[in-house]
Amino acid sequence: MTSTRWLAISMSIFLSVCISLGLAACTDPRKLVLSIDTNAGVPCDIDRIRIRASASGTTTFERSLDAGHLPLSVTLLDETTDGRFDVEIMGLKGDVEVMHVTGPLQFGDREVAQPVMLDLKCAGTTKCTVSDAMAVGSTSPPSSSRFQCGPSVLRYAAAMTSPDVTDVCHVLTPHAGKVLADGSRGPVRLTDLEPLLPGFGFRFYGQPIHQIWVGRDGYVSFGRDTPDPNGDLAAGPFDRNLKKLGAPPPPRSVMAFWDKMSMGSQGVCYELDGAPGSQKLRLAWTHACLTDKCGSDNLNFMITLDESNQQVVLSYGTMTATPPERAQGATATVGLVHDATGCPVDQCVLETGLCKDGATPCGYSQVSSNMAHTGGMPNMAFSPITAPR
Amino acid sequence: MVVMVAIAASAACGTSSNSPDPPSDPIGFTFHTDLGSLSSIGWTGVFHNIKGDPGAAFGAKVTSCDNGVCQFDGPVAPVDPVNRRRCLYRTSVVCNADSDCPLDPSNKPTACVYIYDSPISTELRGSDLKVGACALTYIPVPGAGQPPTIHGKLNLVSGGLDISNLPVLLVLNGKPDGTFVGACPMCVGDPSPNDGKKEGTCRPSTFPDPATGHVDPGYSTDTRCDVNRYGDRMGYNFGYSMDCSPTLLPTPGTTPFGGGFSSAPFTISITDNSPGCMDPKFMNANCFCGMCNDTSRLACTKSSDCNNGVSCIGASMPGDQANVNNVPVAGNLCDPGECDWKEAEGAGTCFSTPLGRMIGCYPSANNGSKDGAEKAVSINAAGRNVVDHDVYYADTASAICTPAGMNAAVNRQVGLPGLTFQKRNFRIIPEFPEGQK
Repeated sequence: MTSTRWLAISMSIFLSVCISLGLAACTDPRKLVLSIDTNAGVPCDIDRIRIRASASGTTTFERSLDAGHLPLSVTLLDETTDGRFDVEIMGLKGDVEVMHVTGPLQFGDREVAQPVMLDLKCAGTTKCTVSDAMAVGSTSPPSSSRFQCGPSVLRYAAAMTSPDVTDVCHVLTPHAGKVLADGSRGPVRLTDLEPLLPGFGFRFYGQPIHQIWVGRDGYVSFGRDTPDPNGDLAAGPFDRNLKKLGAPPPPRSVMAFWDKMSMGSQGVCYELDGAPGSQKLRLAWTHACLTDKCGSDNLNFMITLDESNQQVVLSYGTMTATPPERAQGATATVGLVHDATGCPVDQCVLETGLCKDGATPCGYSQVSSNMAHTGGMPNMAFSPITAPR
Repeated sequence: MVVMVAIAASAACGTSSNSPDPPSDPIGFTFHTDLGSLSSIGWTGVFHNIKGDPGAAFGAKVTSCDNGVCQFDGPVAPVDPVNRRRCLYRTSVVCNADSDCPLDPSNKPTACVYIYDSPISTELRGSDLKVGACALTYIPVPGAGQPPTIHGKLNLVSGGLDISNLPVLLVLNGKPDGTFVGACPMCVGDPSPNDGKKEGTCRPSTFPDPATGHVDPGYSTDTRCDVNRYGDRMGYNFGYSMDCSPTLLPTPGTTPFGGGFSSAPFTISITDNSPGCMDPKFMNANCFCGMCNDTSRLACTKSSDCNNGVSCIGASMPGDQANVNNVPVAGNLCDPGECDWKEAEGAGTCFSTPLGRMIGCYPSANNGSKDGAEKAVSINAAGRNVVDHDVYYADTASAICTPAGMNAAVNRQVGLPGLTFQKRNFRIIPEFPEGQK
């Protein structure tokens, strides 16, 4: 049953919400003020918060967010007999519930102000407890770790560029390493860099990067969950879903040379380097091959994410394989994917990222798929094109 | 309460005003081979873990749909840029009927079929111990008036698939003397595989070395080609194409490579009724497959598969086991019979001292139908069916006993009679009437 006894009142410079719970009482109810903040990006990761509180009845409240109005204050009024009720706090992006904390709350004897942090860990299938969210909220200064969203970016302009020639596998920087050197297929989550990502101001399609999944098959993905949960993700053109010929490519991904590959002993090297504001994240596939076990194939390529200009750069070093056309991309797919829903490849203009109607973003930038570049793989730079939010 | 009523009313109005047309029934399906498809033939492990051709496809025609379950027959042409209807003994020639194909030695036209797994080079050795062979699979087309050879049903809601019969046949470029013509001709320089455009050039393979292997010269008149698949084993990792015909001869015959394929869970077990392995290393154990001890040349999983009163024996020549060409059946060639079987992959591996390397394998029994831990020996496949964005995904499995052939060298290398286990994952694209969904 949804309570009809909810009301909202302004209590401070922040928007405040007052929710009464349980049966009406003759005395002044006790109050619990929840100050709700998040370390997710607003409004790019979440754009609304929904609060549902249950005692003898259920009250649901929902409020749109913007970065200027966090933390959000919610006052809970105790009209129960025992001071106990259940609360759920959900972070929503559009209609999708992306963050969730839930659990019981017990009112104390007096009015208390309690900070609550909607933490990035509480995303996907991980539902955190209210008590954990309170603990995190108590130890985090409000707003301090909230990701700031960049401008709205729905497309990129693609152009050929000069390669980034950094030897990532031999850099002497503190934040460097390698993954997938053990022959595993991946994708593997690049956890070593995750503590640094809040300080990395690169935005992919306007959104901050919270995690990086590295695939042996020449791609990275920035989604919350693994891009290949069943281990059956096959490379292919970005529009195969639009043509109803197969699964869409994983969203929020960069495909430098998406093909079925094996790795040499170096694996995929990575580094995050540079001064704040001009950091670069590099991921380099070295000595990769197209056979079960690597022999004479030698495929070397790199993804660079440049904080200073927000560009994605794909660079290619030595690319040799048997047969040679495969090293030139005859079975590979190259480009960026946001959410491949705009239009088929033959209607998408690579240079602008727009469909041929001139207005609809393609949702991806595909350089090529299953097509050999006889002059060698072109080094490509993708520059974001901003749009009003 | 007022709010809830308003929402309910709105939803009701929405339903009545925006009710979509019921979806059309599909008129056909194209079955593409999806990632994770693996085939293994025989007990030696030499011919195991063969990846499915990612470009392989066959078509089926929907005959009826009822309550979201569509029955289909085939084969028909898949919706695909590549024309897969080819002459079996000259795959570069597209055809519509046998009469379009080259004549055999008795001046009869050879078969016009659907090529399923495109040609691929293998490291199989012939009776002369030289490596290099070329293999492909095909789906025969029934003659006029004959019933369809493929039949099955697909649940459009769940994606559940049940193909009661998919008659795939494996053919190698073998010669009657037990040798092979050699590694497949390759297609060089095609910039875009499987697009139906012949932008590559047919050439004899540059591997293996003629001192140790054979290279199929193909046909000099096959010049331009579209790559259909790439090999992924060292030395056999070139582009291969139906447009570059391997030299296939009718004489060595074909090997059954089909069966029933269902997305439901699948199990095949060694039982107390399974044939006894005749290899001394597995003397007290049963094996998956044997041969009927008569002239039928039938493979069997138990004696009741054979004609009345005929036994199922774990040997390639059950009636002449002292013959030098007889191959006694073993569980595998692992040390010491222990196979690391990975059910999710549908594949096993182990080290083999006789071969000096890691090989493929099936799990084996070492006492009756039980393994060393006194557990029943079986191969299981979980099966899977998913509907995603109007595309159906079905992971299926099938197992048959493949009989020993006339070529003792092949029987010995492959391990025949032996189990053929296939994990075929399909990506199924429905076809709708013109202008409809």
